[in-house]
Amino acid sequence: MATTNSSTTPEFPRDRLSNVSSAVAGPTDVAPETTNFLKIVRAMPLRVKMASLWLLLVVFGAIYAKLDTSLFGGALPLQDPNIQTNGFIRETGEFGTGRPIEGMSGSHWLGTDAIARDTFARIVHGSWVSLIVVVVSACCGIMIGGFLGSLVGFVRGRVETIVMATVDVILAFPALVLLLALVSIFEVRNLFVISAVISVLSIPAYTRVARANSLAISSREFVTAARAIGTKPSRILFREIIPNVLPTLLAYTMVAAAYVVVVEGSLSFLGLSVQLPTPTWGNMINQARRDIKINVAQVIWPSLALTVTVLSLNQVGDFFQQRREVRGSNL
Amino acid sequence: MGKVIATRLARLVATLLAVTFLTFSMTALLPGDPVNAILGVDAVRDPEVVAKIRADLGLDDPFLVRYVNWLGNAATGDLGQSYITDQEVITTISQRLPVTAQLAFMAIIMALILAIPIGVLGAYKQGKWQDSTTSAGVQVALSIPNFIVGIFLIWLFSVRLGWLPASNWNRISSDGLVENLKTAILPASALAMTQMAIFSRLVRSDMIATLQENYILAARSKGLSDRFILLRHALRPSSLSLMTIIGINFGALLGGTVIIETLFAIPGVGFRLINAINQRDIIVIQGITVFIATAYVVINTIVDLLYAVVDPRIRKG
Amino acid sequence: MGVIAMRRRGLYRAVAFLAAAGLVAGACGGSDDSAPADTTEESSEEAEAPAEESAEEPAEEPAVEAGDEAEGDVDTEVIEEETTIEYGGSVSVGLEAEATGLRPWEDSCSSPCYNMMIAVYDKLMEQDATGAYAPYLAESITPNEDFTVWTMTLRGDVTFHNGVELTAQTIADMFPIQQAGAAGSGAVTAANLVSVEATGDLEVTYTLSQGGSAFPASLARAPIGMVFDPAAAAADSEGYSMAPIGTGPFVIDSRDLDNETTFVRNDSYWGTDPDGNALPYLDSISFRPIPDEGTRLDALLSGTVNAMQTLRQGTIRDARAARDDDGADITLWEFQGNNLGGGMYNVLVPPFDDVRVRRGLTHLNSQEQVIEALGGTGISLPATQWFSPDSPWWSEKVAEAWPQFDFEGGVAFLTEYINDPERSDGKAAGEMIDVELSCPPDPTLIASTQVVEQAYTATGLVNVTITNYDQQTHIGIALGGENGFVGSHQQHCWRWSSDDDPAVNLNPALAPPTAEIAEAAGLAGAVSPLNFPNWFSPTAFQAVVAANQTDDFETRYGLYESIMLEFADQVPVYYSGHTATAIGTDTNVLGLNSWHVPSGELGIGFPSAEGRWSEVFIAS
Repeated sequence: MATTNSSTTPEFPRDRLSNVSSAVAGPTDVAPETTNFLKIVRAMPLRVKMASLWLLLVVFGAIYAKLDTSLFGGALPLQDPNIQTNGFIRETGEFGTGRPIEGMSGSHWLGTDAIARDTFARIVHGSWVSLIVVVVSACCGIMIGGFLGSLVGFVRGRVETIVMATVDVILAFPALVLLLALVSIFEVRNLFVISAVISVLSIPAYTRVARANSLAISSREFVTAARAIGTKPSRILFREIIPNVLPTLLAYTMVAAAYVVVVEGSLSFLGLSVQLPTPTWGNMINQARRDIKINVAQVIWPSLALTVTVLSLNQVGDFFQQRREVRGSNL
Repeated sequence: MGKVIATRLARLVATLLAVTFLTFSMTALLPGDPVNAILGVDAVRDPEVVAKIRADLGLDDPFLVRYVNWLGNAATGDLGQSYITDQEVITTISQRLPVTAQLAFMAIIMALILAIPIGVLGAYKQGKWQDSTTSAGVQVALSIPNFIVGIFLIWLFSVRLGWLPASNWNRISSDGLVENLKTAILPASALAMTQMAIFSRLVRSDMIATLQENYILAARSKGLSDRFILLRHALRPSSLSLMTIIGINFGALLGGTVIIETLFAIPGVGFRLINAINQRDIIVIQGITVFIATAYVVINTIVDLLYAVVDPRIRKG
Repeated sequence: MGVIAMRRRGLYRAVAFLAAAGLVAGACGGSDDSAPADTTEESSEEAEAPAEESAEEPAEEPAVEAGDEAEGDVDTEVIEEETTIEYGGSVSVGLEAEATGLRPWEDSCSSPCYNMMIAVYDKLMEQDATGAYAPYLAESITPNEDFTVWTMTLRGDVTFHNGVELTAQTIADMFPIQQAGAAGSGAVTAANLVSVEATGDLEVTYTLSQGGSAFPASLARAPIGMVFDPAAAAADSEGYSMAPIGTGPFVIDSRDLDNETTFVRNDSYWGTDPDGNALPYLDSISFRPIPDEGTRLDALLSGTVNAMQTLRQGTIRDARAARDDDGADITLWEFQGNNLGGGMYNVLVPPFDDVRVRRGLTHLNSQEQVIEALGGTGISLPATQWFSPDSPWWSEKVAEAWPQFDFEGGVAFLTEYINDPERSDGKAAGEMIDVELSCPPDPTLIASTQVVEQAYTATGLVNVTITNYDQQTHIGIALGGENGFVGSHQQHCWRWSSDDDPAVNLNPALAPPTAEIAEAAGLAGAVSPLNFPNWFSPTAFQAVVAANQTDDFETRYGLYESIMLEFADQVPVYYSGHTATAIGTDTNVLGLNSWHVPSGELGIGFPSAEGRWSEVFIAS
């Protein structure tokens, strides 16, 4: 089926799923190559290098911000994302005089938002929510979806029919609508709930990718050979199938991550993600848009952070998928 | 052929059953008493109201019985009524569907108008600067979430230039087409952006493949003009895959308009869904979810069938 | 003898009703969420404001510079129009939200929906410019000796839009529907109304279970004051919501939910202006929900609508700037209401059971900074009591007694508690106190909680956690239920007061919160779940009871003042600013401030941005 790179529409990138089956590369051919880190980096086009750099920065920023608040009590050099810079000053016994919505300056690199909070600090802290959601959904996707998919692709039969029918049904929903319906059930929406819901909805897509690969691998000589010499099926699954499915899944993770970042951003934007005042890019955009007339910059910064991250994930994801030659032709 | 249709329809029915079951169980198996969820804070323990709701929902029946009853009602168009506005869910949907459908339709048309030239250009000039520039643009367009596009469209065309309204909706029936388009153009554009990127990628890759086919080479050797070849011979095969993707995306857009309708305060199905979520109006959430999912599944099946009709390879198979 | 001997059935209904009225719309600030309530008591000087002032007068009032200690900067005057009235034209009003429905007895209704309902329905009573309750659709109303029986005479020759004639029996038939309605049942319970009977063609007798001198206030609000056709309502309640039938100046024409609701002139309307001209003046009026504040103001400035309402000080600030700096041709009809933002402490939960903690925390609450964070400097006035300085109930004494922002003073109170070895929260002496500060997730409210949080944190004595639950959950937390309506809240954002008679707001708020407390006070049965701070004082309770037994203003003033003084001393509740509201219109839309009650007196104006549209006209 056709290319549906829908990373910005609320649909899981199915095209990538359906392509996988048609063009699974021989795992043994590629596996040694992927381990050579330097070689991969060298093979990257410049834009992919830049995209990777940005993603590393975002991950670093997220972890740094989290360490700052949870371990160092705000002692690291980054402003508190929730402190109003015109707030109360103990020493003088008075409230500060800073105006809300300052422009860019040495003390506020990206200015301040409508209630005088440092925008740069909020963007850095906001990346934590995106990171967690991505990591949790990828882990769940790979571990649960990956395992299920590998299993049913290998054992086939009735299990496969049932699992894949379930997967098809979940993927039959417009994902954002299903997500909204699920999220609306929870009274308290914290990072755990949001990650959990997005993760659950990620599993079917991973299952499909894993199954397609598992199917292809299961029919290869080395698996047939292992069967012929009477190797236990569980051993084949864990020793042969899963290790060979995994690299493809990891490449798919990047594409899925781009989608997950957009989805979390959309939820935040609608006020249905983690509760305020926890900063997320989506809720920053939502808050700043009220003052778009006065200061469009406060909308631009979080929008840029979100867009560049999604773009980077797409670039890196495309690169790895192409390397694994999983994309095949477009039809 | 008949067999293809029969299988597809059987699959449609199965999927629909599963989709409705999933939606129903999601809202029916809420933690705690669903009556609490429906009523929220007010009148939670008012015995009369609780009894009425329990009866309405048949909460004392076994789960499967409730599902069958609910499905029976849903099949006749009865999706229940809102406990907040008392409006029938199906009425709500039918009032709002034209708005959402118009947005989705406009978005696809606008996307096609832009995507075909961009895709054709990219394929024709494959590897040249025209191709790399448009490809880069398409990559970016793919990566901007549509609500961000919407915000900046509002900023530019409503706040800065003051050309178009930033919210509201004028109905064709009461305000006429021009007024209607004034309110529809910005949200439709925001939705069209991503679609445009998807379509143009498709057109480009399709056409690159087609341009290498023998009959194109033959046409070239006959000395036909490039433009003629591109439009007459090369584009035609792409239309098949375009049709498929449009079908898929039209269904997806029905759900995808949720954010854009909320951003522009447009009285469509998606905006109602968000309002219902904010009001914890479970019946409405359930009804709209099931409706959108059904529409999505049905449209996809229709596209599949059309595809089977049009594409000889599948027809034969 | 409890003031609120509510039947269990009514409890939750009453909460829903109050939530609708905006009383429990948890909001810290001066101007957020739904503002409630009809009418403000105009001070008598203002009410007698010179009739010759022009209609544009409010617009010309200079905006107070941000930072000024502003008083009276919000114009609440009502005046006689000088301009000659003109018939025809239509007004399109941008509202902050769609009405969930247009049934007075059923649908929770705040400012935006009042604007619509008042176009279709007439109320039995209205407030005139002096703040007194005047007959509107009623012709007269008189109580018996102990205010338990009220006899009302209706205006004759009034018909509904569907041609049905209004009689005393209509009012009596409305009662069962109101009792069963989500909004009506709470109002019926709160008013202690037990029966409504037609005792003549046009004579209605209301019987209350307890004397209530403020009963006419209930007839001036939607749930039991707005008159609808009970037969049609009983036949098709849902249809009524989409196509309401009243006796009002406008008739429903079309209702497109979330988009536009249009009303056209009721050609057979009973009302006339004081010169005998038939009302209304306008041919039609339509309402459009435009949820985004900025967009709504833009819609007015760009001419998409020619009127809009707002309950947010930030929008009033922007509208003033557009008018004064950019020369936009708009009139701002601003109103400083009694309703106020702020919050409460749950006094049944340690450490808030200790008055030193409540006083300490209140001293750390900088009203000025909170209002600044809400964008209301120069627009909202800091509140010291449940009445704005414009209200006849306002008391200078209370204003002086209210604990002002005083950092060191607050620290002193908290230190004393913390070092008390017998401290109520069971922690060791010297340990910080834990405070959970909860507000609904509105950005401006979050801004204001952060102002408070900073001062708390700066003391080094308070460990603050901020939580934000959506409105419904927020109210549910304060209501409790499992634990006898104590609730699990600690410091909780809330809104207080309204422009109704003080009895309406204070009666439920001061009754014993739990059965044990009621029993201990010898008031078994008088439990009110609507006492959200769970603070009970026998003296304050007796004061509200006494105030219900008399209609003498001086006596009631003294009683309510004593309650407010006790609030200032015991601080179960705290305040930020009064809610400033506004209706913005094109400068040629006139008459919002000069409508009349049937006796010919000027009406209350446009409190809580609830416009009365019958005498609005468009000047050429």
